[in-house]
Amino acid sequence: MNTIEQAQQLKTIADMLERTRYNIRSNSIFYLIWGWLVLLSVLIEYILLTQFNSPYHFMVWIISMPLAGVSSSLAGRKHRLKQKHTTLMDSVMKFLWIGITMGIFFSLAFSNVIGWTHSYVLIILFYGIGTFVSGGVLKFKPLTIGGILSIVLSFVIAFIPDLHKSFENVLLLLALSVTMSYLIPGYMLRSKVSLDV
Amino acid sequence: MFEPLDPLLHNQLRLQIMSLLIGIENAEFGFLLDETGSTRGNLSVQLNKLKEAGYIEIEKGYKGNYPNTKCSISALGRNAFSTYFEALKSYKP
Repeated sequence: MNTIEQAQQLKTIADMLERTRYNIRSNSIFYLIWGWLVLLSVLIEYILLTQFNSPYHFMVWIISMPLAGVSSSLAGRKHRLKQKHTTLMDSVMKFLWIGITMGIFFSLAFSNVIGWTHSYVLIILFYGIGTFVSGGVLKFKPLTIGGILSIVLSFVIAFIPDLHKSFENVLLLLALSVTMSYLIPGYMLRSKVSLDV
Repeated sequence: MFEPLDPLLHNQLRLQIMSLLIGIENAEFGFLLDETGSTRGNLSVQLNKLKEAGYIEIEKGYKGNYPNTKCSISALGRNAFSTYFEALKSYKP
């Protein structure tokens, strides 16, 4: 084997590896679906509580969460049909968010035991962890920063009594957190032409 | 003294296939076809050679209503690729 042949073989390997990079831009749709539906639900719940004093303020979630689940499943199906290869990162992201979703449903299911406020604190903490880990492994700083801010916010709400005593405050902070960790990074991801890992 | 290069991986198309599969969990036949620029016939032949050597696994199934073939690298294939890569790097004419 001569030098040219050796260089050619190494170049082939490098070229092929380059073609299997994970495109993180394809994830933006999921952040936008969940971000907008959570934000709208929080704001509707806030209005139902403060303007109408409704005891059924939580009902909005019963509609919005299955809607978010169905929408993201359809988006995921469309993505899978188009995608012709699966990277390790696809599996990491899939299992991370399945785990986070299970944690969020667990927090909601036990809201009658731990109370709505603590339930929402756990939700902020769960998806803060999700976006922090995603940002770290995908090397996308806006997600990492959004995740850190949400984690910090969950601690702030949990340990400052003036904040967690008022459920209305918690709702506004949840809206802030979802904007920081889902919507802003989601739109930043979408605006990028190519972001491969 | 240089490590001998695995003749199975020294073929250009088979090296392309293995280099694509080494970094991912699995790839469809269509993906390998697009990325290698090979013909269907040649790709099938080389995939079968890699399969017979135990370097890759081929799974036939369906995607939607259409037949779909997925390929993934095996542990043996991963080792072979790693050995080939190291041998290639160490080669100084």
